[in-house]
Amino acid sequence: MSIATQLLINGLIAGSIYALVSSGFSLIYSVNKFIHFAHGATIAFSAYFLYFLFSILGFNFFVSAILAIAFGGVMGYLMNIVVYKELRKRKASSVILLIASFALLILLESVILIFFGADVKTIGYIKVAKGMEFLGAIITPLQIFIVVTSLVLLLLLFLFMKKTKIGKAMRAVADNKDVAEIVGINSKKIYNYSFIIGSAIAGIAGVLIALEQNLEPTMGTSLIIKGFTGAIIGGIGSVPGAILGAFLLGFSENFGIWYLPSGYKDAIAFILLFLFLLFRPNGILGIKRGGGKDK
Amino acid sequence: MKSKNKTLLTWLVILIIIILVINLLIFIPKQQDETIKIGAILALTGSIANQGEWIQNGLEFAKDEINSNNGINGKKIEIIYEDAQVDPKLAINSYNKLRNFNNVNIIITMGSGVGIALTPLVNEDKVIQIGVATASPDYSTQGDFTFRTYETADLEMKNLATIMYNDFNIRKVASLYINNDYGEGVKRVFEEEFKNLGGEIVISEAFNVGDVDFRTHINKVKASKPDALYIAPYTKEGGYLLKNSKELDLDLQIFSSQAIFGGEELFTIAGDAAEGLFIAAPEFNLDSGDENMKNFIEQYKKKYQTEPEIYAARAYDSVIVIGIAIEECGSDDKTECIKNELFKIKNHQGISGEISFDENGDVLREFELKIVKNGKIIPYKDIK
Repeated sequence: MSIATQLLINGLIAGSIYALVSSGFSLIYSVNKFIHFAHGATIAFSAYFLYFLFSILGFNFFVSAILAIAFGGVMGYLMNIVVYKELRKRKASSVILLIASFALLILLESVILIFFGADVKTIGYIKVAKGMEFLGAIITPLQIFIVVTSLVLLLLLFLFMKKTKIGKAMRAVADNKDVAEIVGINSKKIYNYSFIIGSAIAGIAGVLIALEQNLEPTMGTSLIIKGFTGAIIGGIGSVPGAILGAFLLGFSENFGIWYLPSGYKDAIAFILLFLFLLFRPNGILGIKRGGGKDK
Repeated sequence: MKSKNKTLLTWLVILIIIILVINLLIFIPKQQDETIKIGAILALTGSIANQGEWIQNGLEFAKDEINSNNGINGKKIEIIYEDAQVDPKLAINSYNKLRNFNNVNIIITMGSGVGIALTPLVNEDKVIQIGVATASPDYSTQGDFTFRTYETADLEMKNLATIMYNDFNIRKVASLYINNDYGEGVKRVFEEEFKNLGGEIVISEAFNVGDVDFRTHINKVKASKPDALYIAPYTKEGGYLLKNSKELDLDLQIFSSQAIFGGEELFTIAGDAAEGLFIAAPEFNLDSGDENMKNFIEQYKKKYQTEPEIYAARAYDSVIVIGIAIEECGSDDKTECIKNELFKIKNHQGISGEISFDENGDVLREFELKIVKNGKIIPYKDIK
């Protein structure tokens, strides 16, 4: 009994972290229709910005965290304006944008390496301590906070996309950019919005992951690999799907290594990805769309 | 369209010219000066970057000492560093660069996987390889041109198993190891020895380099009900493992192999979850009273504002023994001769201990169990 709850909670914690990564990533994908790997760098930059404000300059933690989240949003906006918008003007295909995003990820990680060095940094706001008992399982307060945040985020994002004007416009652009433009939606503006919101979520992810797993220059790459896997499993282009996929990934990994040798943890993630690509390439919530869309 | 192509072409030509100029600038001075080149393939970033930095300090220290004493046969030493993050694939790239671009005949490497991956290459090219942080027993028998100043895990793990079985009365052990040549190598020796003594390995599980989440691993350990936990991690993974153990209230004595020891980073990640951790380590006593040692510590502190770790001492000793061998042979490209001279080195009083290469190019060292107390790693016998 307690083992099952503990595994469930382990999966929930891992899933929440993956979901924080995959939701923003998927939001950006759904509107812009290209894979923005540098999303991982946004997370790492927000985390290091928090470290810079809180641990080096000595700002109040909550002020630092809010600034770090805002920083994520601004950074996403700048990446779109400086790099992607320019490439789009030159009629770059989504493959070129993908390669550019990869380059951006590597470049930005190197920038962190130059300024902060290769060693692990900790925020040190929360000390390592024994977790609390919860239905026979153990979980730390921070981990509860991470799980709750990602669930609330899921709900808010869902409401945002369904109820607000910008959310609706985003869905319209995601669905069919040309038709959306005909009805008067400025798609360039929507691209910007999607980057700002998606990257602000990356900022939230950066803050929480910095507290739970500390900071390293290469943290963005390892996170985006899992976030990307979650997004594909859930159905790329669907934000709720990406979150579901992330949780499924967290559960599979943790339940999987309970029965299999733990060395296969990463293998489990990629077998799951492979199975989905093979049998359900549109993911859990992915909708099969008609032709004529991907030009 | 045409003018676009033209500008592109112009830029390409300019780029090619710039590359050529840079190449010339790099090549010309290199060919003129006469130095002994040593390549060092280290982990300067990644899981064990701190150890890499200590090794680099040790190498630089030895280099400066030799060069300020008129070098080797009048030639100065030059060390060329490559960062391979203990990744064998990157290490092979680094090796090819050092060989083809820098014409290096001697390399110093770090990491079991790196050492083992490079062994066929160095034996074919007759390049001397000295492993300064290479523990796997598989490295020993892989050819004549491979040496190491790091003690093989054989001795360390057999001693640890014996102490755990005899002194701590541990009969059932859970084992968690890092999924690479290092982890596989050391845990195999440990588990075999522990079973030979009559103990039982109740669970043996791997984790991957770069893992940060060990919760389910710890739950598996708990469910197997062992008397103690044995781990063979790198510093970062070890730190997260200890952190999760504390969060999940794992109430067991934990014994680790040597590679967890990577300085402050362990405590940065694990905090006081590292308290009470046992570490298998070679004996390395900074206040042994030995004159050479005193000198080394004093100079090292002056240069790096920190006390030397054994990693720095091993690296220092490696350069010194290479120097001795090159001096005998007259030049650094007579690697066959250098190899034979290295095998002749017996009872060399190094800073890291006595160095005598056996027929496998390995060294032996005294073993010591250490423990983490108040954020410091101290010999266990001091608090017993």
